[in-house]
Amino acid sequence: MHFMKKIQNGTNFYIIILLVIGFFTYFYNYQYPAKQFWDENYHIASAQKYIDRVMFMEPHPPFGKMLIALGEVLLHPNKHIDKSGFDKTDYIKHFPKGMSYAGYRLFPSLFAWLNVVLFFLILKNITNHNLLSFLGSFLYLFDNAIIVHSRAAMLESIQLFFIFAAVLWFVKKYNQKKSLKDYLILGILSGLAIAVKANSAIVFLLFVLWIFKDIRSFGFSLKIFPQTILYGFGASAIFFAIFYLHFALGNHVVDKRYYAASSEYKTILQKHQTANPKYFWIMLRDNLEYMHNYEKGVPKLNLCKKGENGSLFIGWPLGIKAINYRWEKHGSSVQYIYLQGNPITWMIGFIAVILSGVLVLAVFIFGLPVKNRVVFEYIASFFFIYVSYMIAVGQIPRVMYLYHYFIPLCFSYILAVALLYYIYEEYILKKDMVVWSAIILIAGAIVFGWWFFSPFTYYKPLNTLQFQKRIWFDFWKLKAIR
Amino acid sequence: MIFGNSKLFDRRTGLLLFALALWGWIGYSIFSHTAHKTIQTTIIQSRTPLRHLDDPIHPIRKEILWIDTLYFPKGNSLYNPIYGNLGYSHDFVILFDMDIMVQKDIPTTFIIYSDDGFRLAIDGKKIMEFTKDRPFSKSETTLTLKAGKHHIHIKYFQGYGQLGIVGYYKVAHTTKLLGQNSHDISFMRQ
Repeated sequence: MHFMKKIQNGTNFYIIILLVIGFFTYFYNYQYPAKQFWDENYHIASAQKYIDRVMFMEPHPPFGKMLIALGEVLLHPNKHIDKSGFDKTDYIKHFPKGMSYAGYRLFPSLFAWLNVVLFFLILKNITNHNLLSFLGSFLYLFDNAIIVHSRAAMLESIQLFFIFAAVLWFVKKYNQKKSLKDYLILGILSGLAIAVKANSAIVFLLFVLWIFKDIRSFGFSLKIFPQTILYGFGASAIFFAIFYLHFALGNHVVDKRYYAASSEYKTILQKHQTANPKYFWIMLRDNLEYMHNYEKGVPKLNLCKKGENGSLFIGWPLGIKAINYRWEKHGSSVQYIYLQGNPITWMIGFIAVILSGVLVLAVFIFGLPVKNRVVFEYIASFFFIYVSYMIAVGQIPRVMYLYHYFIPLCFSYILAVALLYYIYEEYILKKDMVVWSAIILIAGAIVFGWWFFSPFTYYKPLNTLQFQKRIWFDFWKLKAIR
Repeated sequence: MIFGNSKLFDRRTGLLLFALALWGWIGYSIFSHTAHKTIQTTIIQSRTPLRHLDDPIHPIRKEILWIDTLYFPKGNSLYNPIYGNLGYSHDFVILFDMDIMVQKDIPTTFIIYSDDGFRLAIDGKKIMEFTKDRPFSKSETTLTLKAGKHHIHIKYFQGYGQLGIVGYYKVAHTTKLLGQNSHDISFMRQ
């Protein structure tokens, strides 16, 4: 009995359980369907260029694509398939028959699976309660939208992995006196996240919040300058190192595809000097310029356009709008891969954001007494990050999609658990029957929501009637193929 | 575990109510979006224009759906609460088929609002029709239904412009949508 109690109280026990469940929700059979969807046409084309050492430029930073390529190199399931055509295009129109996606999708799926552990540890560090953190992890574990998007050769799950790692480091050290090394590590994790996707830059706010906390806790100190320098050094060293690797790997040109390379860059390529650090800044300048110009060329959101997949950021918390990534008709039923969230988790996240805002305003404006200072500061911090991301993303003129909400969505999930703990701490610790019954009922609803919407996630067939049962709101814009 | 005290409502009750509300929301959402197989609805899109109920149809698309009630409100595009926007707007025909069980001989009024025309037949016998195009307007007729099983067939057409069809029946001063059961008439599920 004592042994069992020890196991059940142990963090490792919950991590193992989460890994087992996460294996089935995120990782199992990730190579299915063996058909491309959404941006895989772009990302696989880019990843293959790393494998074949072909120079290219891209709107996203390189790290995510490098990992997608690494998966293909490690598993090499397509060694008998000619993929040289991928090097001649940035968008693969026709994939070779019989091609396996097990390699390209390996790291996105793997990171998505491991994210379960990071998410749990974040909650554990905030609440210091294993069971609550375990059940709170269901918010990530059973989110259909994150699952469906992560089981593909795409960037968001890799990005979330490094963001979660940075957040975990942030909460782990939040209340301690931080060393310069701590700042350096936060910088490295931030740099890794930004090297996958530029919108990870929101993690800079973690650094700002740390500085702010240190000043409040320990007073202003000149150490702030070396801390800032080391954080910036960690982030930029990783960022530049990954770009260096990107240049070094892309050492030859196919079909005279120079992208936006300047004449200097072309000369470097002709001399096979892309790995020479001397030319790093020239190549970086050209790449960043290409990224900037590419973003300018992306169309704006046009809600009047038939079949527009983009959506306005203010609708994201309500799940606006779902995207049909892929479908295949077999008689009267249709298989779908649909970017559609678990409405239970999304609704909990949405309510958590509103209530967090109410709490923060009540404390700062109306002077509501704070029950638990540490947890309140986490709530205020993550609410600040959520709102900052949404404001920032609202300024972006190009078309954006529902999966651009994944970062704030995960912060809303953290807020939900932190808020629950903040409000019901004494009951949770006392094992109050009413509160725990409610928590278990909520966890059950999350699992049910995942199961009910899982046909959209795992490419299972639905007929029209079954599809219609899942259109809970017209504004999701789910549309059955009939 | 500690059981709650006798207070009727506190923060804990709020959380429990929230959890129950989540389940209630799930149940309501699924139930309200589940169509029972009551009215078979065959939609046929014509390649050629339709200006009369009996104009020849040159099908380019045909689909069969099941609906609960005959309710496609007035609008620019065919819409049903269960299916949302169905994507039809011009030159199509819908055939509605349903079986009813009548408990006793009873006078029944059938009311059809439509844009454009329709024809209603019971057990193969024409009961009422409006065969040409028209704005969303009402037609009604009263007859005595004999006790027992009957088959109702409605053919509806849409030419161009606005569209819609909504069907009711009235027995003993109670008006119901076609598809909704009443004390004397029940719609048979397939």
